[in-house]
Amino acid sequence: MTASSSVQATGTVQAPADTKDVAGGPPSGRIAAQARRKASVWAVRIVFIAAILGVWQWLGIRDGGLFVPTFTDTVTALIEQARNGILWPAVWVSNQSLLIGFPVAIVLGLLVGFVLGRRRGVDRATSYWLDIALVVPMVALVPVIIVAFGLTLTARVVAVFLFTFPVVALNARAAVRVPSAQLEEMAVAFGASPLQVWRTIILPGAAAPLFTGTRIALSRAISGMIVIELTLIPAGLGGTIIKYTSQFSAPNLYAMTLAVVLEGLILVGLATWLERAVIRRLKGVSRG
Amino acid sequence: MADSHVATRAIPLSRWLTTLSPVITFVAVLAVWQLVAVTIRPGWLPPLNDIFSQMWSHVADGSFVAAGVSTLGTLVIGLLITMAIAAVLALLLGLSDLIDEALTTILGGLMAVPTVALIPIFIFIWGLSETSVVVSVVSFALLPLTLQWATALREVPDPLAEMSRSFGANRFQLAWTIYLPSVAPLLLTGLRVAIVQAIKGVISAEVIIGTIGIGKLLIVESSTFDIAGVWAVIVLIIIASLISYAVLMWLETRASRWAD
Repeated sequence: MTASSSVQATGTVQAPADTKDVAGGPPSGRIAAQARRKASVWAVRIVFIAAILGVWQWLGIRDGGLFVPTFTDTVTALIEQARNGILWPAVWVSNQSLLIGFPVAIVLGLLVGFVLGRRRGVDRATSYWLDIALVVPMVALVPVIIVAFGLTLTARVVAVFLFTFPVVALNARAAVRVPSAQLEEMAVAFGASPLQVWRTIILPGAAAPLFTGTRIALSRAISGMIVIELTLIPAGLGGTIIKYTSQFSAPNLYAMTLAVVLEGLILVGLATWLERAVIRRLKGVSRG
Repeated sequence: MADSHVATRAIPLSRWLTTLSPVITFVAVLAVWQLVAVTIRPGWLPPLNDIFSQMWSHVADGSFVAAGVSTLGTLVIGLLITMAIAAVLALLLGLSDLIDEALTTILGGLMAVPTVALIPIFIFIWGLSETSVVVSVVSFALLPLTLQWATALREVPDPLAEMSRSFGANRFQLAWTIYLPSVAPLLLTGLRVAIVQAIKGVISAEVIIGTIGIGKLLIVESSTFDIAGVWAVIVLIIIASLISYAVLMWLETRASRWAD
């Protein structure tokens, strides 16, 4: 019923005559239906999250907080860590490797990916190394990184780089390969310089997949940052997690882990938001 | 005369070069590796012959096989559990559009969680045991598999199913001839993605635990500063993950041929 009325409504809105009289009623019905739909989607989401947190709380109460602290205890411990100066130094130390390793991996990955995407011969000869690097568990290389660089920041940066670089490069390669060959040919035929072709055809077409790839790379970079701290260099968040494990301090262990999880969610959430904003902007530009 | 002679010889040569270029770069990388290892001798880059002799001794004394079987066992158990849970979750997502719309976004967002950070909690609860490794495998592979399988279930061609039903196909025939072939390639794609994640989970957990399977082998070699031994284990891990990936690729191509 609402669907058919909304169809009629859009029909009447298109008509130039007496729009003011008719348009008021039915579209608001459609908007109401959309709002109802949105509300129920959010209701399901809230129920889902509440159910998970509820199960966590119940497990914690049943366990007596020995192995599984309750959700509320975990949050209390996290707030306490944030207050007494344990959390933020750990976050800072961990993120040093991310701050250096991630941009380096992005820049080098984009460069390598662009070359591989545009030069078939080079691509054929070398890109299978990247495919292998994507499939193989990079954790296995951590002992080698330690032997090469010692228990240093450099070693942690290299770990972040190795986790991130293959995804960025392969993604950039796929992104610049796709954009339409016809458009490109036409531009060249009309005398566009290689730089112009890149700026007006290849990069705008590649923007969306490049952003998606960067987002995936970011979550892998955070994994690389944590994994080396959990295995061989007990520093930052990972080191604190290990310390709390050996102290058998359940709420603190869960709180620190929650901090890592939250960092992942927040950073990737920000990247997603940025991605949407930029792509909306790009679309607006190409339309206008 | 001479020109045509050159031309007929030149074309196959360049073609050979393009076909062989991956092999050439592979050999070149190994050659540079060996050269650097023998001349500059960096501590982290042992000569290839040392790595191979280490691999050989690990194969000969059976430690590779023992560790590999143990790791493979936990991997398979973890994958089977993951598949069971993912199947149920994917069906739940497929139940209604509302649930699908509401939860797919949340599950996709949860992919951003660095799963490796959860492993200490698993170790905290289940100790330095294989249970912790199995739980880690499930935690690594569950979300991608569920999302992929939910996508696969959306791909069932309704008109085709309706037609076969009207021609009197029974439920079993319908499942076997319509549903399964149409989703099998996508189900296998999901499994391929999941196996890559599962291998990462099993190796991460075993390296963090350090007393089980291939992870133990890696930690023991690195604690004795036997870098050739470390590389031997790494090469083993690389070969094993590439083989499992290739097997699933092969299954996938077979399945899509079946679907056509």
